Amino acid sequence: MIGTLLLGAAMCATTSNIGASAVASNLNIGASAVAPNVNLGDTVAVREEVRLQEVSVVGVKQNASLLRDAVSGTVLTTKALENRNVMDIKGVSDMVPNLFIPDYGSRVTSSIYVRGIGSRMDQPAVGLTVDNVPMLNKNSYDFDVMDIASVEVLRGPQSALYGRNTMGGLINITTLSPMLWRGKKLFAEYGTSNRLRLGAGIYEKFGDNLGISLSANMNHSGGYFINEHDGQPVDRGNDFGLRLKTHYRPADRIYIKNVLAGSVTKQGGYPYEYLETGKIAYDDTCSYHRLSLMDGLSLNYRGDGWQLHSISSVQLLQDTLTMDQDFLPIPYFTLVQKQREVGVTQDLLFKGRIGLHDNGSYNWLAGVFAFYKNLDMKAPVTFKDEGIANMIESHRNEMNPYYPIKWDTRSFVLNSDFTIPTFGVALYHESKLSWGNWDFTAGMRLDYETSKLNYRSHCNTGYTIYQKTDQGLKPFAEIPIVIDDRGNLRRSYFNWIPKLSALYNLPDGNGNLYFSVSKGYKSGGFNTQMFSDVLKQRLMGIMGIGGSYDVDDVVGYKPEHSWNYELGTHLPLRGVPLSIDATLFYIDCSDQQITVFPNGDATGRITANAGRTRSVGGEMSAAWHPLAWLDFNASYGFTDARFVNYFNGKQDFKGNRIPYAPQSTLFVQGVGKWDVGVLGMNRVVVDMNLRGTGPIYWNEENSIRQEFYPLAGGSVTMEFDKVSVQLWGENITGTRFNTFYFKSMGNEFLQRGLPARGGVTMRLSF
Amino acid sequence: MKKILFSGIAAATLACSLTSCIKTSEPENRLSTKVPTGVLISTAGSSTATVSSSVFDFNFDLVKGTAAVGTNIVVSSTDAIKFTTDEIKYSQSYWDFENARHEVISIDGSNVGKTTDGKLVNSFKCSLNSMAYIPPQLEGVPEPTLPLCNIGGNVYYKYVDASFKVGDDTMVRTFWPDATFRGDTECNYTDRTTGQAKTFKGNSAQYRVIMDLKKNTASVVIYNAKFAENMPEIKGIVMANLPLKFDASGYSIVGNDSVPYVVEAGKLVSNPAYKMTEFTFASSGDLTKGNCSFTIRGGFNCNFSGKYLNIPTTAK
Repeated sequence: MIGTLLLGAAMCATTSNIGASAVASNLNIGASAVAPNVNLGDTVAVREEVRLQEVSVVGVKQNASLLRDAVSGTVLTTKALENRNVMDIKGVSDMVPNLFIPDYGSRVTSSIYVRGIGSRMDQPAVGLTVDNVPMLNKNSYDFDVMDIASVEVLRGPQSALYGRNTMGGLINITTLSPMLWRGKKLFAEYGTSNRLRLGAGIYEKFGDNLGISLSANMNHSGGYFINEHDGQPVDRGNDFGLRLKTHYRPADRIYIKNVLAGSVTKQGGYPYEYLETGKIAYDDTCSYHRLSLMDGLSLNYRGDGWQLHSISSVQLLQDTLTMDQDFLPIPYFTLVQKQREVGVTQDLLFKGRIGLHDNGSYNWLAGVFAFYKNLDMKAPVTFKDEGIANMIESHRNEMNPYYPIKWDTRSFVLNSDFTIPTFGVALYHESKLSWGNWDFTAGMRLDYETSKLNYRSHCNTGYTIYQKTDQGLKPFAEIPIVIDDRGNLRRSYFNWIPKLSALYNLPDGNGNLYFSVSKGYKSGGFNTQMFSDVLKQRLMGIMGIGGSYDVDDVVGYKPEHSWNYELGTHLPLRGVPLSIDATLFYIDCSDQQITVFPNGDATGRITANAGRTRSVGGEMSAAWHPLAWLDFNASYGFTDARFVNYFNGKQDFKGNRIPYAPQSTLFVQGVGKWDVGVLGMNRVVVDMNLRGTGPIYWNEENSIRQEFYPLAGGSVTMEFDKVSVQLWGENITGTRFNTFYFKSMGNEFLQRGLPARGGVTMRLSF
Repeated sequence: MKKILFSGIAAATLACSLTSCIKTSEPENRLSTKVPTGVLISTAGSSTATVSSSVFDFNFDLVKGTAAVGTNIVVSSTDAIKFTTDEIKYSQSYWDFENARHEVISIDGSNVGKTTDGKLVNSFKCSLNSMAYIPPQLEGVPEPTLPLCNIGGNVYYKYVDASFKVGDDTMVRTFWPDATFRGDTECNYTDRTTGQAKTFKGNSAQYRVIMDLKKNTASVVIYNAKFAENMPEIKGIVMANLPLKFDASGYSIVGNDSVPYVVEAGKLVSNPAYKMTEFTFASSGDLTKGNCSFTIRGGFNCNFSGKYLNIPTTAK
């Protein structure tokens, strides 16, 4: 797999890769090169023709470059990503201010937090598009791409244009086009913990109008953490990915692109450390297996002053999550969750531009989006010997020790089966009026979504009640337990999502100031995780113990809405080798979906509408290019995200910080490049960087937290004509930190962040 | 807001109400229904009382907005209270719940008629309503056999609550021989781990009194019992066949050192761990309210106070 570490310099030009180069920061849109004044009609086609040197937008729905828009965003170019070995979205965490994607669990977990907005389960708060195709399921967010051309991160709600689940922001990954680069790429990397990554790609053009690329990548990790119960690595795994890209231009005005991508993942899991002992030690199998397929077809027609884009996709996600639910070396209970989701999306977008007179223009964009997906899931929970003894028998026998019970078998299964079809349709529009130094933008989306949950909870087991007598225990009654509950729930939501902004362009192209108001929307859904608890509660109810759940109450949760108010500036500071991007924001979020842990013996986690929260903060990015061979980049994000109203029925969390969202993110990078001309070596590039995150509160009570932690990294890259060799290190000081916290059965667990790592990467392009 | 039963537009809105449980008879402007009930008869100056059961027969005239109420209460083998009241104007209060309209039809009067043996029936207060609590369904505990009424797809009791005088010295009150009381349970106990005195107050527990008037015994079922913060709810605790005593003030059920049953998988399983000492359930006054006190598991001293009619204080 390529993607990472072309020996190129961080920010300056090199012609050995995808193109080119440009000055400018690889990080900061404000610091970027001057965005081309792209005619809306040319966006897609021209974008690639600019050979990615411009740090500007490739998202088909953006009206102009981020630099010129009233939006807070960051574009990471190929060089920036390669310098830091980034091949997936978790790698961009912290490089973008106020963006935090903790690396924990397995590839099924892609929790993304932006400005205090995020979610651990179910509906994501940040959307992901790959080559403009929206990924429907958060479980498939985490995958390797060897030929990333750029990653755009838009902060703040993007719901007016992108709809559901983009209320925190949007990440758009664009992969390398075979129409822009011809040749072959080979990639090999070896690092600590036997981490091996390989990649190969071929990019060919057939005539002027057809380009095809095929790339493949594989990844092996020997694992960084040991399960002390069996002495085996916990988090080892293998991935394989394939991407076939076809670009075809049958006529000047027509451009067709198709991407067929697939990946297979087989991982172990999970390095969860019991807080009480500080040990990772559990006895049951943990793994994550995933097959992901996606085909995206983009048809683009360019008229005179207008464009039509049709983006269709078919997506398949099939995965199996196997988990020791108690994460202790005791046979309590396990979960095997198998799911298969098939989805289709269709986005039809028109956009155009009308010149008003010498002093103004009107850009418009309108579209209709629809999707359908169907999720089939089976999530059996197996209770084992100790689980039966300690979680069921002991509770019952404590209640009535004179008539104790004993389960008939020392293992039984609580089965939960679901089918969840979801359909959504939306109309959206955005207008942008440019007049003099002012740009005014207004947008609106009307979004309807309906989802149905068909569930079946069933188990077949039994126990015997004994009577204590002077002669010992005598059977009193045999109790068969046969549960087969079925039902369905439906949720339908209608949302209107407006967006307004005003931008003032400073004279002489010295940047701009802007203010925007936008609404964000995250869909409601179902707590399928709760069903094993519902079933367990039913079982205990048969035994005469415990309250019963109202399925409708605990299983569904409502949509989340937010209003985002933002004041920002893009300052390229022409004439000075410094550019600055700064934003202040305030987010008022109602019915925020927060993960909570049920009290008592319940083991599930549920998403609950937490009432009201607010986030206030700011972001700043700067790029400084003081010398021809030296670049500095820095970004800092601060978020104060707190509950305004949140009473969970037992406890009031008003004023507490929202868990899992970091208060600060910091990224500082210095890159030096020296031309050497020795032993065939053209150049040496040295990259030193520091990432920092925290503090992070892990629960609503704010009783446990991860302090701010800095992670130092760096690389030395030797560039030859066609080959580059890079020595790199991450967390080179071995900082110990935690990336995740959770509770199970009342026990607390943490996942440690990755330790010090290092390796060597080779790239070959020819 | 009060409304006159069946009058004008109101009649159209009552399709899903208690009236749907009242049978229509000829002519069409009349409705009638019969409701069984327990009856407590006491005499002024005496502390004793007589218990009987009876049926109250309601006949409504929709045009006049009146009702006549008849009953025949067997007091003894030689004595009975039998009468049919005059036509009395009735009033109706109703409350709209989730998917049903609940009503209380009140039929009150000072001198409303005479018994067959010529005694004046006075201070007559009678209501027909659908406001009695229904106990949770629990396998192993029989459901009440009292008359039910289907309102808007939900099942409710058709219940009569009456009190009146016969002559100068006989007081008659109705009661529910299978009533479920809801209210607050407060328990004081010592926390075993900390040794601290604690108080728990909750409203999940429901107390059902099932009387056997022939045997003068009663069973008390405590549904969703919870006596401490960290105690899981017990679906059903049954105090079976305790002595039932009636007197002029009402009735009481007493049990000492009684071992209850817990309801498990549809079976009653004896549970000595939940032995109750000084168990008392008592109802007095209009007999719609009840108080219960007991000590369970040797250290949880609990008091309950509740009622079995769910009539809001404000009517529409």
